[in-house]
Amino acid sequence: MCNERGESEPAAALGLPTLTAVTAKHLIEIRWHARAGQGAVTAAKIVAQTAMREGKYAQAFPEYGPERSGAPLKAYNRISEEPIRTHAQVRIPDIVIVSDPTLLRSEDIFAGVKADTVFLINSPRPAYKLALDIRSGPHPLYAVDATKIAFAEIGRHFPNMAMLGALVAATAIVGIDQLLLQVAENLGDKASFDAVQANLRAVRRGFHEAASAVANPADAPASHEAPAQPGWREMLPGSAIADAGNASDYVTGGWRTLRPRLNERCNDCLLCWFFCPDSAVVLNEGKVTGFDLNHCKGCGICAQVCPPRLKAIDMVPEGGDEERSS
Amino acid sequence: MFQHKTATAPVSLKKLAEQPDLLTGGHRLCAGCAESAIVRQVLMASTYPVVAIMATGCLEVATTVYPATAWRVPMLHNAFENAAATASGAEAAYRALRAKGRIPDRELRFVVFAGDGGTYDIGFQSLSGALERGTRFLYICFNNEGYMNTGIQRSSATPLGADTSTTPVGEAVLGKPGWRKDLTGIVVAHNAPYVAQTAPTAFRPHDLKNKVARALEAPGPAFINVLSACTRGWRYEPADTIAITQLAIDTCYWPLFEVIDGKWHLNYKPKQKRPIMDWLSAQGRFRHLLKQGRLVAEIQARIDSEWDTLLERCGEAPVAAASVPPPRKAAGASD
Amino acid sequence: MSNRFAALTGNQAAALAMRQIEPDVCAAYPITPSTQVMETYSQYVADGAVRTELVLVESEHSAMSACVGAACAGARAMTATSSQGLALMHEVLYIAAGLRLPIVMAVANRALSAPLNIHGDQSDTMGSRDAGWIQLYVRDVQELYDTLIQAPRIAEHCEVMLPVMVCFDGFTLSHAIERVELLEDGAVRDFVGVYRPERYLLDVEHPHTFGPALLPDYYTEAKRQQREAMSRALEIIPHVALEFGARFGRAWGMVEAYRLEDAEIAAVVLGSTAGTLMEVVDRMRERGVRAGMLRLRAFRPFPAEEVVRLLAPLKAVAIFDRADSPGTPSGPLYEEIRSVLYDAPARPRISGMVYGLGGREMLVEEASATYEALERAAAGTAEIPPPGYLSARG
Repeated sequence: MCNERGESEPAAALGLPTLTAVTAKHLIEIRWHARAGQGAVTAAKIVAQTAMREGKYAQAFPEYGPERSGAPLKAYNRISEEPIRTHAQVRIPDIVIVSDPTLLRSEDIFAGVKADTVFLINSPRPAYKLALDIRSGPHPLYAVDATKIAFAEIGRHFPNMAMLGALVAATAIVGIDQLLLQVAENLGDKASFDAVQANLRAVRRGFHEAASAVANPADAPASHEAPAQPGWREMLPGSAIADAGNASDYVTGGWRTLRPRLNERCNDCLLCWFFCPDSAVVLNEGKVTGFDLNHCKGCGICAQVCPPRLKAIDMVPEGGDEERSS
Repeated sequence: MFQHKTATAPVSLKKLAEQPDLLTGGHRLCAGCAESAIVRQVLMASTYPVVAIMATGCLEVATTVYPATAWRVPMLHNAFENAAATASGAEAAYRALRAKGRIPDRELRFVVFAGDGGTYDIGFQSLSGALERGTRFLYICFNNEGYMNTGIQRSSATPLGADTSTTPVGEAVLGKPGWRKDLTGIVVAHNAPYVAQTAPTAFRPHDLKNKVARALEAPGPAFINVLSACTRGWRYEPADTIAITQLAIDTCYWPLFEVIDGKWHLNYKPKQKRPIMDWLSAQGRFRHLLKQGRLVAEIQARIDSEWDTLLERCGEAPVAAASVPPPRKAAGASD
Repeated sequence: MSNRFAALTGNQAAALAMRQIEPDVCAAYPITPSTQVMETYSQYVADGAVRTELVLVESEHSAMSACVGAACAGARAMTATSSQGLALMHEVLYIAAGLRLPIVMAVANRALSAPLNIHGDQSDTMGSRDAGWIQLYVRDVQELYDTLIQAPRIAEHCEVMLPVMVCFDGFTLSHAIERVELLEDGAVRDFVGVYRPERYLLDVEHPHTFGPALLPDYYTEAKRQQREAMSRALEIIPHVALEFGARFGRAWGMVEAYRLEDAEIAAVVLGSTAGTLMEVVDRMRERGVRAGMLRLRAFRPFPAEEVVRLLAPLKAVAIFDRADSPGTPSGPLYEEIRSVLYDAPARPRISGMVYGLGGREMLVEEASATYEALERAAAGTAEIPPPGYLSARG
């Protein structure tokens, strides 16, 4: 929700209607869209543990795929005052959390949502602008720059601590004090005192910096129907794949947080091309012309293997999600 | 006996770049994974059409997510522990069908890709059988020193003291007890005509592909044990995958050598051997060892002794250890 | 005997059928009682009688793995095993079926350890019944020979593309000499034809990925497709048998019904015990008892339609299982037959007997006693016996 000037207001200060709308429900179901290796599965677990700490019943479970670090993943929570018996993925979420802004262009975050489904998105954009950009229509939407908070407080891209704080600000699904205690308890065994404090600061900042907005209700999200997948009659016997190399249609560029940049010192030794794990160094007649950003995961091996006397590649941070979604 | 082609001039990268990539991007291995870089280099190095056989592992699940495949060569994945036996069957079929004129009369090469789990451990029997039978294939072991696909558990390739999810560091136990298995040596004992150790490294970029090219000329089983750095399991920054491998070579933790028809050849002898601490301190999985002076000394002694044995087998003179560790810039430890 | 006839053990007949089929690749590991199949076949290879690549592996797991590699490469691949060997293959059986590879395997049925026992029962193949393989059980050595020759045609049929197990009772058939009418090599060659798969690993011009990873969004469809192939086999098995019969004069269907047309009581069985039961049926018939026998030749796919058509009109039926399914009322055959009869408008009374474990073959007297109990149940003078073991000392 934005004020008269169109600016976002901190959610916690506003006493938003969505607070009661969500927490009054008998059963609350959450879907997380995140990237592997950024702590989302842990965050979902902390939500469940905090709810249980408050005497509620809760579930937390990820949807496992073959993807590795950086790949999109989904995780789910169910929270209820009553015992939860359902063991199935959440199809109609009450809350959708997007903990990496680059997922907005690849993931169907509107799948199965209801009119009152609350969105919580990690984004540097102001909430009202984000709501307009992604056409979230009537959905209550909260934005928080969890990436910025993570780098500032934790020093690594673990945006999900800030997302936890923002989730509480947006939905009061658990109490912030209990959440902080739970985070401290979970990290306490493994992390140093300083690391625990850094994570707690990230949670608190997420709580205070989450801002809300509702876009024009008439500006409903575009239909997000997934493309029909082939049925068993269309599959080759034994699930053989005939289209050799068709994985190149799959975009892994969104995994990137750093982007390689080539400069004129390159002498086309091709070491970067030779060692790139993602076949993402583009050559033209034996010369390096750039990078295939659809597939580059931003690992930085190219910059590392570039001869030190040349240093023809450096890794630069990806821009905000606006830049990346272009 | 076959032609030992070490003297052949290496094919330049520019020349290799004229060929299309046989493993595409769009696979879902971790950013900075060495495995796909290794596969690309192996496929590039072959002048023959390659038929790939894969064991279950990270590479398989991340490159063949139905309906997508990153492979532009024929590829068969059967199960975790049976890639070698599967290759035996496919290679037998190739000989039978070629003799009967049912497939074109041309040379193909069979290349197995398997991790250390599928090679050192659960697939060991299958590998041993295929080696003894003389299956003509090139078996590439991606040795990332653990079961990374299932979440970083120890394997028999895991080094002493490494922190894995089944050899966690605790009050009573400091990571993996016991030394790693010398699988390369065990394969040599099978009298395979070509056996080698290598690793993708920028300072000897041709090592891996040249070994593959030589291995593919072997008249029988060829085996290459490739050290394959794992950013998640070893805990270092993805950019350092190739640099960290270089530390393994410079510390003589992972020497580069070949055994051709039973004759040992050392491919690289560092002028000064770097202390093992350089290798250990670069990786989060060894972080708990850094203050364990006695254990580190024990590891150093074992590395030294294995290196001496290797030098002796290769007919080389010993190398002095570096008295002062050179500054380490290549890689930094991370959590 | 002329040259058309030979006195052969089951293992010799299996090896001979394989020689005439002349698969491109055989991968095998010895195990009692099927060892002689591959021993005999190895001699054929040594003599230059066949052009087959033998892959003599270090375990059954590798034997089946090599068959998968060979079949996927485009070769006709065969093997033989028993018991523990089949159990060790278990993982790869599912892969062979899931990859839709038409491997043919002769299985000399044998009990599973523990306790160690090398003798016949069907526990081994019953443990593989849901692996996705076609399972055919034969009654005698002749049928074993004929069925092995039909097996590649069934397996490789483009609408099926599934592996086939031809199951024959260990020792009872594997080591017993019987009179077998043989076919000409050329006739077998013409009948089985050459395996030419549409997609195969060695086709480097059209590289395919075989054995990819399927997530929840596709795995179900793959399994559904596999089920369909098995359903198609219900039609293809009789079709191939019919063609075999037309050419060679011996017909085999999905089931073998013996004197069931007007029967009131019957026993149901798999494998060689059927012969014993036929003897008993004849004796009962001499006494005026309307007895019959049903043998399932195909257990996978399960010939549900025939079973219902043939058994539903009866008054009392005994189902003999040569494998136990502990924790259920009786054996797997019992469970499945009762299940398919559930929807029949009228059903017989059904008893289940586990018999023949670890080589204790069913005696004529035991079979007779069961038929007599069925007779009493049919007449309403006694309850049908509850499921149990046919013979076990207390």
